[in-house]
Amino acid sequence: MISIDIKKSFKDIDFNFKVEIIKGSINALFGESGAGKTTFLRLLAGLETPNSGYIKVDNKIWFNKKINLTPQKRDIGFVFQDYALFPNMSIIENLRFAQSLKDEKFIEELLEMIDLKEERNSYPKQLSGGQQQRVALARAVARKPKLLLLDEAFSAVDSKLRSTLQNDIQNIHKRLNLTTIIISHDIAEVYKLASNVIVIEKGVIKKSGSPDILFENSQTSGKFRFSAKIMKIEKADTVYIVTLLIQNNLTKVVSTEEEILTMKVGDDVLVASKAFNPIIIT
Amino acid sequence: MNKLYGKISKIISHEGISLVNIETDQAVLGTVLIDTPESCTYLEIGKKITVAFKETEVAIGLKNIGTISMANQIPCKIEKITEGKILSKISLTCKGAKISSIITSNSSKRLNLNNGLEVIALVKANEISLLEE
Repeated sequence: MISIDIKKSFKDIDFNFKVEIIKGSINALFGESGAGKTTFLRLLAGLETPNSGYIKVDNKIWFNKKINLTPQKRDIGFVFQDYALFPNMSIIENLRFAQSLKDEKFIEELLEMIDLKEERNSYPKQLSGGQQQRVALARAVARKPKLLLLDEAFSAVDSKLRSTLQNDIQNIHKRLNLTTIIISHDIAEVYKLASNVIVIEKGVIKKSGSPDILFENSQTSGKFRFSAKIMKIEKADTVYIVTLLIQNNLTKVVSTEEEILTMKVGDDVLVASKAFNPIIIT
Repeated sequence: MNKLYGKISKIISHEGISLVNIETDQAVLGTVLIDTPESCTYLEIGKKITVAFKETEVAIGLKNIGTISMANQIPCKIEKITEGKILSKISLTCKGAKISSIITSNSSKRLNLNNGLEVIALVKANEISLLEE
């Protein structure tokens, strides 16, 4: 069990994170940008220091009034969106470097899990972006941490690669009996990976429970409704075509001149359709 | 998006689906929703509500339509026709409100639509959305 009850004042926000996380679970942090998801991970990792409270992992104190373990002593694997591999080290050297206790057998196992056994002696720049991301994930767990933190690590990848990385996370999570916390805006990803969702609003943990709590948010109710960004507005015959970005997919919606007057490229909008219109193709 | 304003006058629910009637100044409109008064707070008799439907979902009928399944029939007058190569936008007025319909230019020609003509705007019940004011 990981017990967290910490307070931190930072940039005019009073963060108050109180939650218990079950050992071996995959948890998704959910909330608007600026709500405090990254701050929560940074406090857990020891990259920020709380003003008060405690962090206890399996009965070991990581933080309280007297104790404040350094990030290196916290047994954490962390993957950021802008992960950086060491460019002058081969893949296997990158993994070895992350280990404090050498364990070649485990490195072999990791290379197998991320499907890069053949590329062990290649350098990062010789790999595709997706392969590099898989190495970053393997490196984060090379020293068998207790806690794996993923901060929108895979938000910038296409859906096929994303699915591969999600499978990697599931495999690694199971193999190491990790406790994992991920930040993701992708509800499909949250549904696929997480057994528990922690909802953060304005610096405070509002609720925590099964992924079904996401349905309580009206933006994601059972209807055909998505948040989107306007990418392009083009005139076509007597109508206009609005190109929208919905997560990683571009889609087009017909609109009228009057509606176009209220829109501009870059706007965040809600796209809705009646539940009757969409067709499902399997 | 076409918008008309009215009050909910009737709700019939069965197994999670509801047929909701809305009395607007222009016509009584019916909509089918995947919601019930239990799942949706604004579904209540007398509630003021905005009725919304997309221009591309509005069909045009001439007077004396005869038999047709679409119960949502709004009597209108054509105010303006913007003709494109493929699509035409028919701007309509009806008892103080303005709505429009986007149909193919072929259909507009076939029906011989022109300014001032009295027509019926038709909308299928499952194309009408309700927006809380």
